[in-house]
Parts: sequence; C-alpha cells; structure tokens
Amino acid sequence: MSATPVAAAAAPAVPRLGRPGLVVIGLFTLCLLAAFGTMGLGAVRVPQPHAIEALFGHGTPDQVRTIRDYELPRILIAFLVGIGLGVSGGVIQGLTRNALAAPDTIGVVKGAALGAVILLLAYPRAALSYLPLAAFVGGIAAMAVVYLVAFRHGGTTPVRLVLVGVAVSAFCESVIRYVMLHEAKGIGQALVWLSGSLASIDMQSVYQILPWIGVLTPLLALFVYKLDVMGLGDDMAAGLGVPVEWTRRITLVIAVLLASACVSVAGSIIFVSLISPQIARRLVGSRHGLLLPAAGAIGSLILLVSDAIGRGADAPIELPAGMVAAIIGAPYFVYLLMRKL
Amino acid sequence: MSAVPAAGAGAASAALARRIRAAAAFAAFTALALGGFVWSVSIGPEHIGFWTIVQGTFVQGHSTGQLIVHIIRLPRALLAVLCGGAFAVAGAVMQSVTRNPLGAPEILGVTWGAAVVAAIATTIVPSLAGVNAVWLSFAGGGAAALLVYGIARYGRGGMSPARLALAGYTITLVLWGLVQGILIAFTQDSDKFFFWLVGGVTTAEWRQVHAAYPWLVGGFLLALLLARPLNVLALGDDVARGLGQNIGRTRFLALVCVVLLTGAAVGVAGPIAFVGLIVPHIVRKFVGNNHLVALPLSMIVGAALVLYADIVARHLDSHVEMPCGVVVAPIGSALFIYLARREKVVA
Amino acid sequence: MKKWLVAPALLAALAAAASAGAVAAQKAGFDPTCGTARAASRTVNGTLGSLTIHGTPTRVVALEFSFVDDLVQVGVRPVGVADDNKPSEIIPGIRAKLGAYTSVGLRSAPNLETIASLHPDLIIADATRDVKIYNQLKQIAPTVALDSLQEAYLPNLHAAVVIGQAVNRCGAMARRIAQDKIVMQRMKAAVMKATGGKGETRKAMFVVTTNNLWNVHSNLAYTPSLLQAIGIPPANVLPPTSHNVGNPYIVMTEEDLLNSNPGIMFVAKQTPTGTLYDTWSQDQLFPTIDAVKNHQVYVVNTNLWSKARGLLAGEQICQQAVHLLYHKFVSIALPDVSSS
Repeated sequence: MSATPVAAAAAPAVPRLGRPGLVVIGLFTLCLLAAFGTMGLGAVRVPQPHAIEALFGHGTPDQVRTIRDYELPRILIAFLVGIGLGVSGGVIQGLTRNALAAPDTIGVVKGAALGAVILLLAYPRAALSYLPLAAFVGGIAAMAVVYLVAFRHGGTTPVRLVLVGVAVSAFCESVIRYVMLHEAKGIGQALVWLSGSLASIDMQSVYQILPWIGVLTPLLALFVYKLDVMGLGDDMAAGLGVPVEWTRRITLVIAVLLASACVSVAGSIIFVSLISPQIARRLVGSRHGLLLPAAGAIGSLILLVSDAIGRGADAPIELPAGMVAAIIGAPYFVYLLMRKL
Repeated sequence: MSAVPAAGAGAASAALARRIRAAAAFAAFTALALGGFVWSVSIGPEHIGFWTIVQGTFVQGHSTGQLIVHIIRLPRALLAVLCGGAFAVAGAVMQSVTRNPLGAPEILGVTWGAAVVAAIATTIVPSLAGVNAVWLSFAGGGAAALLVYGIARYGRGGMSPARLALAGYTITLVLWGLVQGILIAFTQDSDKFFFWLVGGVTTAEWRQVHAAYPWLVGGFLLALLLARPLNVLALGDDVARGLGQNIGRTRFLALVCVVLLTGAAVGVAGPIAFVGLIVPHIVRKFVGNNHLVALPLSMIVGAALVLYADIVARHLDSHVEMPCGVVVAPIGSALFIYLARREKVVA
Repeated sequence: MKKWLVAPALLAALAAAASAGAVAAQKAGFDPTCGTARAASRTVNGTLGSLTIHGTPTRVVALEFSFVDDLVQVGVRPVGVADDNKPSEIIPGIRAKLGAYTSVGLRSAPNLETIASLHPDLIIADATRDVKIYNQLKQIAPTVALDSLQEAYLPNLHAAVVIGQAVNRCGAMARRIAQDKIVMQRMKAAVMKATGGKGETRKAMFVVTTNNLWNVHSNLAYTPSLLQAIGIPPANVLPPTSHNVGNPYIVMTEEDLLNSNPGIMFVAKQTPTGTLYDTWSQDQLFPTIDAVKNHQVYVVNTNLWSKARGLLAGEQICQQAVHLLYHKFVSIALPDVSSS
C-alpha cells in the first residue's frame, strides 16, 4: 500500500461528499432516468407509462416481449458497457498522461476488432458463441504486444505506451482491411460489428459482461490513490513510495480487460472511452476517486441515449450506437475544447 | 567529434559528411524510385514487349500494346509517384508545424472531409459522382481543415500543437461517424466504398492525373518556398518571432499547402494512410531536419514507397488487384512500432 | 467381340450414364418432387440446420429478395420483407403480386424487434448474411436458413424447393419448378436455333460496375451460372475451391478486362452515370475488346440481374438475354403441367 504520509495527505479519513461527489451521484441518477426514459423507443414504439409497466409484466404480451426481450438487454448493456468504457478510458488517460489516449488509440479496440473480423470472415460458419471470445482474445493480445514492445530498460514510459499503442492500433487496422478485401463476402457483417451496434444483444451478453464489470471496477477502487500520485510524474511518485511500474502494469491490465470485455460484447464502440473522462474531468476534477465513477456514469449516459436514438430514429434501420455517439458527442466536445483546453 | 583546437576543420568536415550523406541518399532513393517506375510500367496481365513499353511511355501510338502502356499503366505509375510524393511532403510539413511526430494529414481531418464528400457523392446524389473528384475532395477536405484550424486557433489559449492534434482527431471521429451513418442509412453497398477507403491507384487514368497535377505541383512549390521559414519555426516560436518571422502566416500557409497536397491526392487516389506519417521519419534519419533538403527527399521517398507498394499489392490476391494502401499500411505501421519503441519520434 | 453384342452393350452403357447423371443431379441437391402428399409435420433441411414445421405457416418473413420471389410464385405473400428500406429494388413482376408488407430493414442487418412484432410463424433467412442472428431468429419463430447471396444458380433453385416444402406448397412448387424448367428449355432451344444448332460459342461477361470497381461475376456466381444453363458460356471461370465459392467475384482493372476479352458483355451499372463503364467506354482501348467491336455490349438492370435471383427473376433475365443477343422474344408465360 502507499506510504503513510501519502495516505494521510491524499485521503481524508472520512471521505467528504463535496460538490463533486454530489455531481457523481447526480450523474448516476441521470443514467437511471435515461434507462427508464428510453424504454419503449425502438422499432416498435411503446408509449411511456406502458413501457415501464411492461417491464414488470403488465401490458399486452407484445409490449412485454418487446421491452423485456429486446430493449431491456440493450439498455443493460449500454449501461454496463458505458461504465466499462468510461472507466477504462479514464484509467488509460491517467496512466499515459495524454488526453487522446483511450482503448481506441492504444490498441485494445482495434485488436479486438481484428480478432472478430478474422473469426467472421475466415471462419464464417464457426459457432457464433466464439465471436466475443475472439474479440476478447484479440484485444488482450494487442495490448500484450503493445506492453512488450514498449517495455525497455526495465519499464515503460507513458509516451512510449501511447506511441506504440497508436502504431499497433494502426497495424491491426491495416490487417483488418486486408482481410476484408480478401474475403469480400462477409464484409457487410464485419462492417456492422465494427460500427458498434447493440442491435442483436440478448440477455446472454449481459450475463457475459456482468462479472467483468462487477469485479474489475471495484478492484480499481484500490488503486485510486496510487493513480493520483502517479499523475505527479514517475520520479515524484517513486520518491513518494509508489511502485510505479507495478501499478502501471496492473491498472493497465485491468483497464484492458474491461475494455476488451466491453468491445467483445458490443462491437467496437469508439469515442465513448475517449470523451467520457474528458467531460468527467471538467465536472469533478482529476482525482481518480471521483473521476472514474463520473467517467463511467457519463459513458453510460452517452451510450443509453445513443442506442435509443439508434433504435428509434430511422426504424427499421438500425443506426449503430457507436456512430450516433460520435455524431452527437463530438460537437459538444468541440465546444469544450474551445472553452477550456 | 573532433577536439576543440581543430573545431573549425572538424565542423567543416562534419558539414561535408552531411552533404555527402544527403547526396548519397538523394541518389539512392531517386534510383529506387526510377527503378520502381520502370518496373510498374513493365508488368501487367498483358504481355508486352520491352521496346513497345519504351515507346508507349513516350508516345501514345496506335498498337494495342502501346496504348495499354500509355493509357493504363503510365497514368497509374505517374499517379503513384505524384500521390506518394504529395502525402509524404504533406506529412513532413504537418509534422514540422505541429511539432508532433504523430502529425499526419489525417490528423487535420483532410482525408476524412474528402471521404465524407465522396460518400455523399456516390450515395445520396449519384449525379455528383461524375463531377471532378478533386474538386469534391478539396471542398470536403478544405472545410474539415478550416474547421479544425478554427477550433484550434480561436478557443481559449490560442493555437498549439496539442490543440491542433486534438481538434483534428475529434473532427475525424465525427466525420467517421457521419460516413458510417450515410453508408448504413442509404445503401447496402458499403463494400464498394470500403475499397476506395483503403486508398490506391488501381483504376488510375489520365483524366485523374490531369485533374490532380496542377494542385500537386502548386503544393510542392509552396512547400519548397516554405522550407526556410519552417527551418526557422523549428527553432521555437519565440526565437522565430525574434528573428522577425510572421509565425501565424507561416502556419497558415503550411496548412494551405497540406490541404492542397492531401486534398488533391485523396481526390484521385483515396486516403493512402501512413505515407505522410512514416516517410518524414525515414528522411530525417538520412538528412536531418533541414527542410530544404528533407522536403524534396520526402517527395522522392514517398513516390518510391507507393510505387513498390502498388507493385506488391497487385500480386497479393488472385481475385482482385488490391489497392496499394493495403500494403503501405502494415509496413508503415510496423516501421512506426519500431520507431515508437526507440522513441525516435522526437521532431 | 460378337457383332450382335455391340448394340445392347451401347444401350447398357448409355443407360448407365443416364442414371449416373440422374444420381449426380440428385446429389447436387436438386430434388424436383416432394414425394409424400401434404404432411402435417415435416422436416426441411436448411444450410445451417434442419427444421421441423407443423401445419401450414401463414405469416412468413423473408430476408432475401430471391426468397420473396419463390414464395410469391406459389401464392404465398410474406408479411415481412428485408428490402433495404427500398421497395423499388424488388422487381416489378414480384412487387405486383406482393401486396402490402412490412419492411424489416436492411438485408445485412434486419431489425429483430420489427420481425418479432409481426408474429411470424416462419422465417426464411440467408445462410451467409444472417448467420450472426440465426439463433435469435429461431427464438422468434421457426427459422430455416437457405443459400441466396453469392450462390450459383442450382443452389438458388434448391432453396426454392425447400421453401416449397416449408410453406406446405410442395405440389405447387414442384409444378412451378417444372414450369421453370420448361421455360429454360425454351430459352435454350432459342439459343440453339439462333446459333444454327451449334450453340453459343462467344463467352459472356457479367459485371457490376461502380465509380471505382469493375466487379465481374465469375461462373460460380448466380447470373453467369444461370446463363450457362441456357447455353451461354461464361467468360470468367474460377476453379470451385471453397474460397472461390464464397468469393465468386473478380475485381478487374482495364488491362484485366482487355486480357479477358469477352465476346459478350452484360453491364449492370450501380449508378446511372460516373461508373467505370462510362469512363472506360470513352477511351481508345475499349473498342479493341471483341464484345465492343461486334456491338455485343448490353447495359442491363442491376436490380433484376444481380440482386433478385429468384424463379421469376431467373426467367426474366434469360428472356432479356435472348432478346438482346438474338432479337428473339421468347415468352415466359407459364406452360400447363400436369400435377404430380
């Protein structure tokens, strides 16, 4: 654990719920509201009070089935994946001290995409239950490569991690494009997966991702203070007794596992893990204990709203949630850039 | 280096060594590029005799063999040279201006602006598909670049390399979302667009060469004119200002140069990723940071890279001549991984 | 050998060859008769698995144009169709018989919610495109996955047979397929007659072109194999390896096209202007192609020739091909066939 002086300085004995804390609670409440509010918005419209009632089994069989079988899994996934991506992005941005770093740029998402594309196109008749596994393995493998390549003289530096991550990301992307051109028949399917759509999610996916989010996110809570200290710089942190490389390694692993799990279930949703921590930072500051939950909540919020729009805007066409997130989120992000960078 | 008493002579011999190395690099890469050009023009599904190839390169002629060389193979090789050089020089200028070793024209959003317009052109308004692709590309790429530049400049704090990169990356993500949306909502033929997205000169024709080369030549000239100001800018904003340079104007002109080069190249060849990222690093390894030397060499190395990539890509698959972007990207990114590991990416 | 043995020996050999051919045809999966009469409960074999159907489905959802075609041919109107949100892509001959239906979205990404809301009792999915949602479709309604996308003529015909079995119109489908065979024979006979009994010797290329792609369909794809069945040989032949069967297309540059030098070209343009055909047809090399020299280049309707692929579509394609090549109009009016 951290040395006592650090603990005393950085962590009050009883955490006070100052304004930032209230903001986090507020964000999660918004998530809940969004979750319930967007129920019933889909290819089959179910007007509002009936939608929530249908969740509990009251209403026509059609409504109950639509809400329970189709929308509930999607809403749950949007919620969980949003948290996973937001938190993962926050950790990676903190570790690399680079606002542009996210699972997208650092190799995880592209590695997962490569795994998925290889399975979809090179072995199209393989059991589909292998798809999340392929994506998961791809993401982990890519990150392992990034870490190994970035490891020199006994450690990694944030700059090297980012650069190697971007390079590996690009490499995976180039292989993806080659495979897609070579096996042209499956290209439509691969593109749908790559766009990050929650369209054919069922409760199975929720059960698959729940343990990852449920276990890994609280685990990160243990590293929150170390991450704060590491933000001061490697030398400072080492001087204050934080085992820099070990912390970096393990938090990176956790973040990568989180991101891989999310991507393996929901497809490659970019952008959410990039901007959620940015917005969170502006709302609650840089201390990881508040930043990570806020980033998670914001990620959920973005995904919940994006998926709702994707479901209902142009029915029966499904607009992928990842794409909608990029389109709506970006102008706001640009506005933030102009205000405060 | 040499001991202090012999400093004068030492410096002179160092400068001479540099010059020799630069000259050697120029010679070698030019030979490489020429070799690639000749090779590219000589291969193809139709077997054409050597003398016909030579004739066809210079004269259109009437025989089928000559026509094939002149109408099909020659523009392809030329476009590879022009676009390869364009992406490389644009990348070198961008990396210099942003002082960011990751700087590439893609970062400015130019390639994606062009991509969005191409997506619109080919799906919603099919009649636009016939319009000169280069103009469409400028419109899209230029608009995106202006947006990125505006965001980076007018927000609080003024423009800095980090702001530019961040703004560009965000605009790219938005545009990518838009492109996807257009493809999904309006068409099921996204695979055809995907082919273009990879970037290549597979269906090059004279019309495209004619459309692009005025802009490309203009862009090259502008780049050369900017070489000295960029050298000064590299010393740091304050030093440059102290030496009397108008930094804002230099940066603006540099961005115009990048848009010209990239917009025209993307309009005819699609976004060939990584040429702009990797060639400047290779060049810097041989000739250092002097833009007067580095920019022309970038042009040559970029041309060679795309030429050879195109030759390799043609033989990768029996069903389709893959676009050269498919070869450039893995090589470029692998090289980049190597450079990133050694952190040899400080400008 | 004794002279009197020659004739019976020859006859025996011919008979053996004929039955071997019949067995081979059956092995190819083409079984023109259903065998048993109307069955209350029957098992059909799809590409991704078998399905046991009880009774007669009345609410069918079809996720490919060719399935819609086949259904409509035996008088079944699907309640849901994946039409890419563009009803105009369904060929007029089918659209007329289709009546009102609900669109379930893109063929490449059909909307599960919409499909479920239609309360279907049978879903006909595409074995290539819908692999990922196959399990979820099965939870909505009994589902059978058949070949349509990028498959050649015979597998598409086989799909029609299975569809007939699935909707309990076995007899009607058998009749319709027999009629289709006769129509195809008419086409083939017309080709023979127009070529003086020798058969068509020129090779035909079928290509779908966009602004940057010249996408040739090889003999392993639907349209060329259809034309081959009526005696028009394909210009682009690929060996039937498993990779080629899944990717029966060849993307060509202009030089590849010149090298291939087909005698006939059927060009389907994705957009009215600005395709590679529009560009290449202007240059000096294009007229060196045999098909161009002999004025055998025909621009055809993309929806019909490349996307449709059903029974009626196949007949219409052949009718158009014969008309374009030989200026002969062969009727595709369905002949009377005695019920089996």
